[in-house]
Amino acid sequence: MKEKRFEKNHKIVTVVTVAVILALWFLATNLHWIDTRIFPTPQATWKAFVAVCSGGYKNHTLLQHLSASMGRLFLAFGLAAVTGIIMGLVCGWSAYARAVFEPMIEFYRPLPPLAYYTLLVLWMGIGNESKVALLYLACLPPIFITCCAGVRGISPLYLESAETLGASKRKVFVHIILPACLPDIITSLRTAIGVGYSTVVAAEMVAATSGIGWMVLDASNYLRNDIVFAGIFVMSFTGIVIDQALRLLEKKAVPWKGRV
Amino acid sequence: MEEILRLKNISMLYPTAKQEDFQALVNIDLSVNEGDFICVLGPSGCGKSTLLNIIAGLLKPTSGAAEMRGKPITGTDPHRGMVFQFPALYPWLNTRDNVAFGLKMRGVGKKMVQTEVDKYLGLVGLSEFGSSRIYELSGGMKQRAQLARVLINQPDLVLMDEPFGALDALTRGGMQDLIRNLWMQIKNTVILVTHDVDEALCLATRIVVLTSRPGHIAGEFKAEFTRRIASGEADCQYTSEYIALKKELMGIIRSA
Ligand SMILES: Nc1ncnc2c1ncn2[C@@H]1O[C@H](COP(=O)(O)OP(=O)(O)O)[C@@H](O)[C@H]1O
Ligand SMILES: [Mg+2]
Repeated sequence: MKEKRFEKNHKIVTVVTVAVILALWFLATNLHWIDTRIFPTPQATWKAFVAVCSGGYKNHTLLQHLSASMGRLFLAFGLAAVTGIIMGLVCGWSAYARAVFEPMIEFYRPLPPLAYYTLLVLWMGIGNESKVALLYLACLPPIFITCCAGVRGISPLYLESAETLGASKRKVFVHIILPACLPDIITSLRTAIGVGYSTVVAAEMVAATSGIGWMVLDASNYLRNDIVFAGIFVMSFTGIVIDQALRLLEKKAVPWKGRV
Repeated sequence: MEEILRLKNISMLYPTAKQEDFQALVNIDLSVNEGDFICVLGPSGCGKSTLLNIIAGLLKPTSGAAEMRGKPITGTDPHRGMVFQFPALYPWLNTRDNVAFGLKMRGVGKKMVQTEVDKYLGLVGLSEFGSSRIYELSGGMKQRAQLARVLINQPDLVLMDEPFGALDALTRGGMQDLIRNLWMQIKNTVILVTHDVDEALCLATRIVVLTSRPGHIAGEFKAEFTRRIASGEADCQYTSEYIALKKELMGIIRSA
């Protein structure tokens, strides 16, 4: 009971905070406390949003820009998820596999993705391939490392009990290791898509001719701050939607999380 | 009575950070017959879990050998079931599927699994909780579920590592009755490890006292209170024989 009420209070505080910020923005720009050429009004931002939605920006509608970005992101994320989960689980299981893959991933993991992006562009061109490769490389380490640590953190009791109940090594992998790591897998996917999302925007700002990140960068070159603002809002909402979707998946897939 | 388990001069050393290894068990000799209910009684840290893990095949002794029906124990086997102190039930499965785990791993047919699960859930009194999530079960119910999960494999030898240590006294009493009844009904062999003298006296047909530094067998006693309790004589805990044996056991443990 008590917790429910607190939760409600928190939500009210959030709504009030957002409302105050919006109001300040509205007042500051409409009363010309700040220069609207630098900081557009909410109305102008909204207008720009409607305009790029219907008319588009440089031959593509907002939806097309957004789907160009999301297409790259999800293709790379999907590939990274499949390979990262398998590699991570196997490396958590086998010290030999770990000895092979860990140094490779640890080598490039600390590098900011844009540092090797130039190389990828040089090798694969400015098109989609280099971006997908970049995003793949950016998404892979968090998945690999979390899954690997997840396996190593499994309670030995799960493994011992399964063994005494007659499960072979292979069955232990499928029936114990995989489900026991599911919470870690989903957490790692959430981290990875966050990294991938910020990388896709940054990569499009470096080299692209479509995508939401490119749209914002290009608009800023023409001092179209209203479009920049609209683009940033769209990016932010998309990010929130993706994260919420993964949270929902987590609730459905691992209802036991935090209760054992 | 036929022998089911034999421990021959088992010693166990654990490597430590220090120069010398830690001697957990030394020269353990034990012969267990079919149908025995053995309680290994000893203070915590005397090597009870180590001994049980060796019998289960989870741990290899440094020297000596464990044999089941004349064959050396080299690894785990579903014929030797292990009930752990903390029921490591799998939270991603409901109670039914936890109990079914062993049969599924061994490739038993679906229909057979269903009837067996129903039977064993019934035996431990959890028929109505088959579809419950693990986190919805109380501590006592979890331990019952673990018991069903082990017994469904029909192990000839059941090992139990302080199975009631984490339960409150009232729940513990009920669980002891359940274990005794199941043992009399199924007629399997049980080795139960405990630090509770009364638990040993109420359940065992043989009590093996283990004392520490290093863990060794300090004495062996026959007991028949469990059969007397089963035949309705619950008051035998207040008889002079019971108290005399309890005194003797406590004496050995204290003086060690
Ligand atoms: N893996 C291990 N490494 C080193 N020492 C251990 C290990 N496992 C147990 N011990 C030590 O061996 C002794 C016996 O442990 P254990 O068999 O768990 O005793 P009990 O179950 O009777 O409490 C204890 O002193 C414990 O500290
Ligand atoms: Mg122990």
